[in-house]
Amino acid sequence: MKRRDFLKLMGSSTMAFVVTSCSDREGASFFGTAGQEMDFVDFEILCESIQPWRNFSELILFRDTERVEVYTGRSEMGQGLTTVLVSIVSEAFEIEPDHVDVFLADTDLCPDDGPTSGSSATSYVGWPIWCACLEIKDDIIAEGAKRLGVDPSEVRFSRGTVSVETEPESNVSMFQMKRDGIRFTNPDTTPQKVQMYRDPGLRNVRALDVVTGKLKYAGDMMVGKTQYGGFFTPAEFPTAYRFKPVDLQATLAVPGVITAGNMGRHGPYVVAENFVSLQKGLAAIDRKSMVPKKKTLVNNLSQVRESARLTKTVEDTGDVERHLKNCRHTLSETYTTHLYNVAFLEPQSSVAIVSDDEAHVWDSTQHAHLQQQVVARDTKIPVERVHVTGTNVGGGFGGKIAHKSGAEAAMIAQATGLPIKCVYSRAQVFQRFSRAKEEVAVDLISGVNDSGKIIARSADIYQDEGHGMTDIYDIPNSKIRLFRVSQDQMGIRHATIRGTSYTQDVFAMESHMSSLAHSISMDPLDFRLKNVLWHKDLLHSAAEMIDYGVYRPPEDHGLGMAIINHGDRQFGALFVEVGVDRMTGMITIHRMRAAFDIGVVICETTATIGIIGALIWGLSITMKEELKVDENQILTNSFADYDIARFSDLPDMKIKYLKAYGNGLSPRGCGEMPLPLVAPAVANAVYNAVGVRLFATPFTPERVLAAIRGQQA
Amino acid sequence: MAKIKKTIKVNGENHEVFAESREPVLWVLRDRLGLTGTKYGCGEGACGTCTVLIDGKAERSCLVAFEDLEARHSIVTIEGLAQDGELSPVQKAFVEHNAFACGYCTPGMIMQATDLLTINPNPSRSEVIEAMNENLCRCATYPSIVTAVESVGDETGSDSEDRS
Ligand code: FES
Ligand code: FES
Repeated sequence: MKRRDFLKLMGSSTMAFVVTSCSDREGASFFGTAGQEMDFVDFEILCESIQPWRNFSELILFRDTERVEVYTGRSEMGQGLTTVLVSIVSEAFEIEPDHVDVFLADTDLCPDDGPTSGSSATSYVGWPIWCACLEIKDDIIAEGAKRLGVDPSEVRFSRGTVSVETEPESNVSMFQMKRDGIRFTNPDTTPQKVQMYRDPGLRNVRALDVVTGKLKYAGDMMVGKTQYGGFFTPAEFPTAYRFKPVDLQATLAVPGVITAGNMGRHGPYVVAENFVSLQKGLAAIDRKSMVPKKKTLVNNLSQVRESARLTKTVEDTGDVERHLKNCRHTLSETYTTHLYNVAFLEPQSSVAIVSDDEAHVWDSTQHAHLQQQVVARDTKIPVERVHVTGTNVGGGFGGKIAHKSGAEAAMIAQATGLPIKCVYSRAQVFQRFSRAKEEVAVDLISGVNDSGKIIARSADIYQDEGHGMTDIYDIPNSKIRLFRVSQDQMGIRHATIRGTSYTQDVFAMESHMSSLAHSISMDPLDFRLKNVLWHKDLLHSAAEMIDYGVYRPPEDHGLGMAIINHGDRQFGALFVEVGVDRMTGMITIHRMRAAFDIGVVICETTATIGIIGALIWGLSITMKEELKVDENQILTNSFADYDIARFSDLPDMKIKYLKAYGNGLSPRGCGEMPLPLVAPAVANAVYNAVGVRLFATPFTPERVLAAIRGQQA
Repeated sequence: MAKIKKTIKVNGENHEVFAESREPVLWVLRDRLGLTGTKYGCGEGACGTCTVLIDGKAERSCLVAFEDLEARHSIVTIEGLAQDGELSPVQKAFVEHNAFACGYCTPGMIMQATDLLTINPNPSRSEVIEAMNENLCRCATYPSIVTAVESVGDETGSDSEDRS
């Protein structure tokens, strides 16, 4: 159902408020030429096609049952969007939180608000809804005053009720006005008035369902006699082969397998009564179904450097070459980062029923409307007959935007006529479509004057975006260039994963900043304070939290720092204390102290859970995780080979919220911004502890040991 | 893999189940009994999302075969922890301390913590960390889980290690 049909259906009995008009995307294709088939949900096309943050619209509906409903196409994936929306609406109308219902990620009910990513839901959905509520409240006050026969200035609004200031018993509730058929609308207006959001204290409204196991994820859905379905997934990079039909007798002989087939370029699929039989049936598929493509793939950074082309100049100010040549102090360094996987605990999961050229899909997705397009493309069912309901997401982190489990369930359901549940195995989470954050290299050259002012910087970035490199330091001459190898030449295909690009580029830049400081014998905090544009308060605050300059770390302990500007919305400074074991190369992070400006905090508990989680994610990918590959396949296929952060890795962590920048009225999000701070802060602390610079992630004991030995040699 | 029929006791009730003999109890609970609170994360004992109590002891249900269950065994899943609508102390503590984000690991975490607190009603912080260390949380809500589990134990037993 299109959004305008939805509005028509709701008709005059509702009080609908549209914050900004949603651009009409009918007819637009995410996938280029109509009918063109692709194996992947392509990120590059995706990025060009979606313009989420300019096009969102929200709906707030008042129900006869004295409840208020809120709708958005975004998803709940643990970041607390539901709680944020309930907080906002209940505070705006001064009603009980349990009188607010939130509807998310349903293509029949909700507008397309773009993907739930980039820590943007609270700022780009929650904030406009807050403003919308205030506008509606103004309408309610005006209408209430009219009914009470007084001027709007003579009434007050409290707990959903308009009353005469001097005569409180003379009142009318917003729900009564609604029952009387009065319609409050302010379509297509941009809210002018802003009022401070006050109460960040609401507990997570999903808590009871979570702790009792009632919260439903896509894999928990049962629609009729749902069977398990899935596609054959070899470990090889899919760019290196294509499928041909094969005999599936061995698979069909596996107990519990119901049917199996060859589905053209998608390869063989299996349907089974249960998950284990499905996996056995898939494992029995003959590898002769794979025909190698004659193609040389780019698989490592040295090949990337050979094949990459300049794709974009992100920044080009002043005259970098001239100033670098004339600078008394220059430093040239290269930083590299490694491959890692999103590794959410809930594998990609979907359920689909397809009948009469109509598809219903329940999907663990960060973007239900994109999945609607993907299902339509892969099943050739018209998009308006594809209905996607986003369920709770058991961790998305960017990996459930362009996933395919929904389309795969729908294709198998279409082929077999059965309701199909597609739940990836853990091996498929690592290997299907060979998606990962690819390796990145950053070449940096900077020039500094005697007083510690950066005069010029050149950054050449391979396979990344340069996020977090601009608008952080005042550098009069700066050039940032991006070099890329196109995705179809790559063995590993790009995946957006929490904090990607920032993670790689901030590691390079913030490590380089401390290196530069040491190269001119300046304290890295003083050096940053001399050059930062925005971060002075945050740096001072986080430095104070760790007693920087006062605390003297014991032998082989060190302090390190890093800062970030995440999209000019979120700002952070992190200080860490690490200890390094010179014999084993083991790094232990003892303390993390961080200060953040994320604007108004709507719900402190969910924000803090997100921030602490992002810092531990940072620790995990910096210290532990690494996806292993060889020249044609991903070797990692289980948690046994891929260690993520666990309880025993926890440092002592303390964070603080500051309101340092901006008007301080709006929320700006927080879920990924802290993550990229960890690698450079740890690298800088290791330098402070043992005097060696780590130029590549992850900081495994072997790498640290090699660096220490190299220093001693 | 032959199918067998047997009666198993789950959350205090007997259920007659017909399933593959080697089928992991995880899938018996989820698919045959509709108890979907127990989650699949890895299927090989490495993440803890599938943890249930078997005779009071935390077990990875993905590693226990249906045929190895006996009628005398009593299974408790996340759905069976609350008694007469009253949350268990561990469930209450998880709510109180917001010890989750996406919530996918939470049932396994709660079952593991319940086991720990049965054996050791008064665990120190380091004992909590040691006992829970094989349960993974990708949202990395570990600090609040530790605080929640500790809060259930008697305060006097906490060690002095500061990991707040
Ligand atoms: S699913 Fe059983 S331990 Fe991971
Ligand atoms: S809360 Fe998401 S995996 Fe633990």
